[in-house]
Amino acid sequence: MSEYSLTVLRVVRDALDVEPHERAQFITARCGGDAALQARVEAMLRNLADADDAQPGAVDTLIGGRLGPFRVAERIGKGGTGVVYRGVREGADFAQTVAIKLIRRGFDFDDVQARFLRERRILARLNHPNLARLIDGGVAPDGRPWFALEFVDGDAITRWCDAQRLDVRQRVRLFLDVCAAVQYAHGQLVVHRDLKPGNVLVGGDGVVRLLDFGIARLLEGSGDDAAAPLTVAGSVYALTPEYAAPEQFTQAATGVAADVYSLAVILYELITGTLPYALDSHDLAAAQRTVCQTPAESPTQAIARSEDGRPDTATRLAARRSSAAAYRSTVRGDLARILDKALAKEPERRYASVQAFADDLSRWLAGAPVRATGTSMGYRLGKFVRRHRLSTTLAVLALASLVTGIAAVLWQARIAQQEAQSAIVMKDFVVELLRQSDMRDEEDRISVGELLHSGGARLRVLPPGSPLRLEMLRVLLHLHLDLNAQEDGIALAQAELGSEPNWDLARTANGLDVLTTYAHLLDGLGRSAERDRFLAHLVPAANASTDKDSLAWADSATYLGVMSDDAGNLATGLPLLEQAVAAMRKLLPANDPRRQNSQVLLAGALTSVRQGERARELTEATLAAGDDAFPRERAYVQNMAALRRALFGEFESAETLFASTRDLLDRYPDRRLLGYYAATHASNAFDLGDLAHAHAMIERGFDRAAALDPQNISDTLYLLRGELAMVEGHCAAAAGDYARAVQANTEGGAAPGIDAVYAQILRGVALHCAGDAQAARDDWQQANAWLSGASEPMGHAPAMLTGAQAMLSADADALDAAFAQADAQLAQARSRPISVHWQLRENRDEARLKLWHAQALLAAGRTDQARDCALKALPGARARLGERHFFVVALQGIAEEPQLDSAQPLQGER
Amino acid sequence: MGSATEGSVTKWLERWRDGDPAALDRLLPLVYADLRRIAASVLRSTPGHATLQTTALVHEMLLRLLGRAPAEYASTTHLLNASARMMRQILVDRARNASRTKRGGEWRRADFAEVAELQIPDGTDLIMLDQALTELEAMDARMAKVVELRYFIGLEVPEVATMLDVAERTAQRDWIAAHEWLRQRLADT
Repeated sequence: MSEYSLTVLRVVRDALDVEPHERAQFITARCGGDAALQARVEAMLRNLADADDAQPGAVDTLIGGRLGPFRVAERIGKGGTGVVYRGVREGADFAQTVAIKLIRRGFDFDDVQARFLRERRILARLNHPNLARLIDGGVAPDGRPWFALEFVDGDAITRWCDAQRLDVRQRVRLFLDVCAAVQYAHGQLVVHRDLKPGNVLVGGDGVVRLLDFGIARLLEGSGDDAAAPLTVAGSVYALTPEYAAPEQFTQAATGVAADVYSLAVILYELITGTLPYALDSHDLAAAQRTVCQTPAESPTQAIARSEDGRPDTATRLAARRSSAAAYRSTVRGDLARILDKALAKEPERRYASVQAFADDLSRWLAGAPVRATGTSMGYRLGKFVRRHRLSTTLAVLALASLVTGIAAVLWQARIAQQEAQSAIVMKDFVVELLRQSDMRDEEDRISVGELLHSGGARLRVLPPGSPLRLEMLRVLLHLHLDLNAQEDGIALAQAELGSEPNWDLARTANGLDVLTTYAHLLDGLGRSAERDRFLAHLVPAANASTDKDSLAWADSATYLGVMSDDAGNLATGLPLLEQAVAAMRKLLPANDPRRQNSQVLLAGALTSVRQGERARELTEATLAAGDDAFPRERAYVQNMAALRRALFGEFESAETLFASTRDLLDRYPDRRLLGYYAATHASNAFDLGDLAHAHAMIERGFDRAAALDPQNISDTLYLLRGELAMVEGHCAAAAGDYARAVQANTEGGAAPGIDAVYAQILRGVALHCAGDAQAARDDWQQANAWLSGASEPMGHAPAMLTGAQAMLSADADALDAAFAQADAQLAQARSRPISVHWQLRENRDEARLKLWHAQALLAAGRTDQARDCALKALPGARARLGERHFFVVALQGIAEEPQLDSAQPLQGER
Repeated sequence: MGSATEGSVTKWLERWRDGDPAALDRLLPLVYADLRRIAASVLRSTPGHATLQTTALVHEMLLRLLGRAPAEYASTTHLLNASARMMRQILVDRARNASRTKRGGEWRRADFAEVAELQIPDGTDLIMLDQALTELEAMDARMAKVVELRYFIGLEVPEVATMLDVAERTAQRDWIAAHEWLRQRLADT
């Protein structure tokens, strides 16, 4: 039997190598009169041809023929097991076009046929204006059953909405018609199970038509379908991964909830122009993982996502007659929550019915409160932990194998060169593995921590001083750094290298990287004196290295550069960073997180030395090359790019990036970035000039900071809250917040630096505005004393001190000279290196000093001069900060109507 | 998949760390797909890599885990050939044991299909598949190899062609013919 079948296979296989038109002859010859063999060979070949569906020139015998009353005109589509033709009935005075569906030839197996007949039965019971109507049915001459449906000459709903340029609300309204049709079908106990834009057409009349109940299922209890259970084990029915609910992949019983989910994906696509998650639909297993595990992106983030084969963000916004800002304000909040609920991974968390989903959408349209409540952070975090536990476990496994397996094998010292190479690849593998799963989950952290610990112990069995031991140490130190385990990392480094390492190690790239990582660990714990001692040895070694094309060197140079910058040594740091990035560009693709990280760090250093233009180009290029596969790195790059945009006064476009960073951080919490993000986003919200938004962002910043560490709230947030209170004329409240910012920077007896002095100056002005002249003067004196006693650079604080003095003294005759001096001091400060955050404040304060000047003139009764002052300042302030900035609006107010309508130093709100 | 799979990974992992060498054997199919995916994402940053190398990297790691020194494999081709053979062996042995002992909680093919992303059709009897492949090997070793590489390490046809150093068209014809033959052969018995 099997020998015979092997003979069949042999002939079939050989026949495949013969040109198709010579095959028949070839087979006859090979079968040598064995008719049974020949029949089986031919049958098998036919199966093959069907399987890959490649019979060029094959004639479709149906076309031109008749099925029932219809003439078959052309084939218009082909699905998994079905094929659709356009048919025409020509009557005496009318022509009716229908879509005729049949089972594909070669697929008329019993189960397919049963399913087909079921679809026909299901259609027969449905009658709704938004459902394509069943018109007729019968059996074709070759025995295949067929049925004819109303022919819908329309476009997929997504395409139609884009072509009509419907805005988001119009889209939601149209979508409610789709819901009505699906709800009707559910009422008839039919679930569709394959809802997708291609099955939801909009005709020329603008009416929605729902098609293709091909894989529909009758709900329990409908009786007449017991004969053909569809979800029999093993028969995977057709599935459109992009729109299928998670439970549809597992063949679990699917019901109404699956249709709710698919509808939600369609709505999501209508709103955002893209899918809730990037998906590889060709790889079903990968698609399943994505659908089951990846949370939907927020619509705000999705509109910014660019994908091959989809229109870019601007085009999509235009198709929705929207701008980035308008879009954001429409979709965020309730609409996003509704989508979130309908797209829940667990069926029971979704809307219980399509009706409930539609009702919430109607409420949203009407501006009424919706029923969907947001997914809590705790829930998301829980999901995240659950999702990543597997990969964390894998990381443990891989690291264990690295430390035990490879180390043991290599230690045998019977190693070929190839082996050593692959060990390095493996190590990168493991490092990356752990980076990807750098979970902050207690449970997993302990196991990884333990493993790091035992890694250190195993290290000691390797020959002291061997390259292998150094290599393993390097891996382990990097892991400690990535996992925020600085203290253990330092302990390990100390045990291996001592507190005063052998600096000769730095001659090799690996050794250099080990020592740099050691210094980096020290830096992480604020041990800057030791860090600087390391830098003194390592920076010259890095510069003298002959191995500058290696990744290890580039890694070291990056962090040596950053640490030098932090130590105030920009002249050393910047060239190292430049070279590191140049090396990474040669070694790594643009989306590599390590390269991205180095580029952004270089941009930071460039900004500090006032090369903002270049820094901006670099961050934008980095952002454009970024990859969704590394969400944390992406969040970091976005945050940095946002700051660079803000530096150029583009607060709106920076805001988009901040919003998207927030979405990323909500889904991939990263303690290292969260506090930084909260403070920088709040600052941008202030500069945007929208009071309500600024309030909201500052308060959320406080919430986030408190969630991270209530004992350690960023002084920036207090400062910003003070600024906002000033804008609103709440001078006393502002003074209180400024005071907290001062306090945050002088706690623990630290010598007051620029942060403390700056906040102190603003507090003095706030007290002056609140009418407490004495306290204001005392404050100013204190700031003055701190400033003159300072050992560190004080940025533009001297300019602010001069300006504040003029405000406080009310010496009308000295005003112009004082502010001229302040302007000069500011201009001087602007030529010196300083961080992007201070540069943002310089931009703000350039306008503020003008404003103070004008206000002081008003207070002195010099109305005309005040107006002139404001008028002269406006063009520059607008160019720097835009039209809507509070300070610009205040200057505008004085220019238009110069009057002092209270003691308030500025009145930003109209 | 979900929690059951994760649970069993953790269980076998713990056993392995406790010194049970057999546990690794159980772990293998469970971690395979993830290793492959992670390896792909790692190697994406390595210039000039190919998918074959991803697979090779994972298999090298698996061989290490199984305590088989990879030094004996001279090339990627050699390594993958050996791996495919080994995966087949492991899975078939597993199926045999399962059918003999009928213990609860045995590894099931369904788990495997989901987790390992291999392309063995659903419901395939692995023991029969093994027999059929052995028969096929006797007649045409290359066709059997094509199936083995596709089924047991999940290579795509173009990758198989590269590995076997034949034209893609040839590998494709080998594949469709052998696949159809196996389908009939397994359905007949």
